[in-house]
Amino acid sequence: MIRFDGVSKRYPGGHVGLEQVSFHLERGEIAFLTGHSGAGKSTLMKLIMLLERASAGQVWVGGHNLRALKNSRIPYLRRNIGVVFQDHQLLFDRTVFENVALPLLIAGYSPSDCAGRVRAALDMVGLLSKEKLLPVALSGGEQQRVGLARAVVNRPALILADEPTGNLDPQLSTEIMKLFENFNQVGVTVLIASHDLALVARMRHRILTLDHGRLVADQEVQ
Amino acid sequence: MSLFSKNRRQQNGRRHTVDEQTGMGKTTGKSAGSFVPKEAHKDAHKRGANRQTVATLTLHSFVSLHRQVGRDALTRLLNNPVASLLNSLLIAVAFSLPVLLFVLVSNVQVLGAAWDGQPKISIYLNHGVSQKIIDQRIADYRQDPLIKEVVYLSPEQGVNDFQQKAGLQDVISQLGFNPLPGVIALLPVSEASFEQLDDAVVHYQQMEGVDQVRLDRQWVQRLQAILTMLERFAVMLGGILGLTVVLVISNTVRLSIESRRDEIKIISMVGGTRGFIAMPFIYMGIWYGVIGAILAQVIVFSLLAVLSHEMMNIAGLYNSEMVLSGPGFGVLGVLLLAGIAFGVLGAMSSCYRHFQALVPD
Ligand SMILES: Nc1ncnc2c1ncn2[C@@H]1O[C@H](COP(=O)(O)OP(=O)(O)O)[C@@H](O)[C@H]1O
Ligand SMILES: [Mg+2]
Repeated sequence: MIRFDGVSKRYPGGHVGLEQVSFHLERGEIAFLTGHSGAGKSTLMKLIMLLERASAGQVWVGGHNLRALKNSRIPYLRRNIGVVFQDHQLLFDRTVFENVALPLLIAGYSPSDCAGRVRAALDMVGLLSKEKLLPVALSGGEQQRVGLARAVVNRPALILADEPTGNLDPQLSTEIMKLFENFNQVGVTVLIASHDLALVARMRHRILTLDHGRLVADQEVQ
Repeated sequence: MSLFSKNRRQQNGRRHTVDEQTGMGKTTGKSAGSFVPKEAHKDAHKRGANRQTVATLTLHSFVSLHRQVGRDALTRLLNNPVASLLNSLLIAVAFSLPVLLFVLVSNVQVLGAAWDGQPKISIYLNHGVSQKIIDQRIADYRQDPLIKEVVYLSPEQGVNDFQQKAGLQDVISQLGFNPLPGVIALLPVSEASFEQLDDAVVHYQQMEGVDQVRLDRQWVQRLQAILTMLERFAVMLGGILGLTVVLVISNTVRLSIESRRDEIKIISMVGGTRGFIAMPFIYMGIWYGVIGAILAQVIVFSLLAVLSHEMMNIAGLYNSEMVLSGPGFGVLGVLLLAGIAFGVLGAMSSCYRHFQALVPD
């Protein structure tokens, strides 16, 4: 599903984001990406979504070489990837329902066709009763779950989560992680970036560790 | 990318299956998503039927999406009424100036055309010319086959006429003398060509006792030339102010894009194309153009209502039938279309410039 071949990313000004990173994440796999702050976790995620382009090396997603992917095709790549970020990135002037429906509207579904899918996604994260609320009326954990519902509503083949539990307490974090495991169990490939080593260790999945842009460890499931 | 169209069909193919309605949490391995080729093969036999679903779905969703985005854009404008009204007024003023000019020009043109139909020759006589010479001239003109009718207006009659029409009293005693010359008005036969009349004017000019000969046609021609120039000026003004409208809308849209940066980034991240992201902004431009055009019409009609009163007075003074006519439906339609076109243009130019940093092209 994701293959990195000697990928480097240098930001303008000489900042090193990634340095010669190679790994392969199989279809249907779940893995964690860890490392200190500034290690390059977010950079790696951005390269997969083409929020940034690699300076060197090849990135393959779903069998497509991203170097060969034209800019005009980027939106269609992103529709196949569900993303969850630490700052949940919700639209605060729209209801929970409208936030979750966004990827479907973009993909060309009429509002009436969206309803079933949106409710299913909200049901899954336990927020069906809050669909009419605005995000400000929700707690941090709930907002994060809305982001998660939005990420999965279009049934992406791949879910990327960048620090999805960043500012949640341990119990909420574990709940969110359980949700990711659920998706993985139905065949979705999941990659989660987190610097919470204790949490990552508890989950018992493959762990990729970055250090100053280099991939320094790739531990399989114990 | 074939991958993604596969994905679409697959999704539509499953629209009504049970797992769809009961929630994804209960789905089986089936929902692994679009990167799974097996899935696509499994659904392959359904594709013929699904293609149709996709087509109708697309048209249906296209229409409802546009309706929703258009409505949202209008709601945004109405939520911020003061700023929106100021912007719309700016646009309306830019629209109404050339339209007003155009309306006035075409009204005066109608007036000119009415004069054009019946050219008249006025012979202004020298001051203090003798009655004998006046009678001679009148006799000359009566014999001219080019002239149908001859009317003599003595200086005294002229003053009386003027006093009546202008509502003045006793001009002569106020001035101490009668400033008006005697005038012989000639009405040519309708077959007379302008070449013939021009020749006649030259000929009459040389006659004894004649101070000046004036062919109305000259005035009309001059007026026509001025009007043509004004009309061109209105078009040029329209062009310049049209550009102003585009810039006003473009700038307003730019501010909106800046205030909605986060939203644009999020939509881009979940797969919105440039076109999708630009849509609300383009509708915003269209609304501004349309509201501006409508306000411009209100301005034009109000000003004409005021002006037409004045015009009636002038028209009465010149003893001519003149009714001020407003812009026709054609002009109003053009104004609306221009509003929409300028709105789209302004919004698109703004999106083109300011999306660069936010959205992949
Ligand atoms: N847009 C950017 N411009 C310049 N440098 C950047 C940019 N984004 C990230 N970096 C640098 O790249 C390195 C990796 O950052 P990041 O991928 O955000 O790390 P992490 O997510 O692991 O904390 C850091 O040194 C950071 O300063
Ligand atoms: Mg990060």
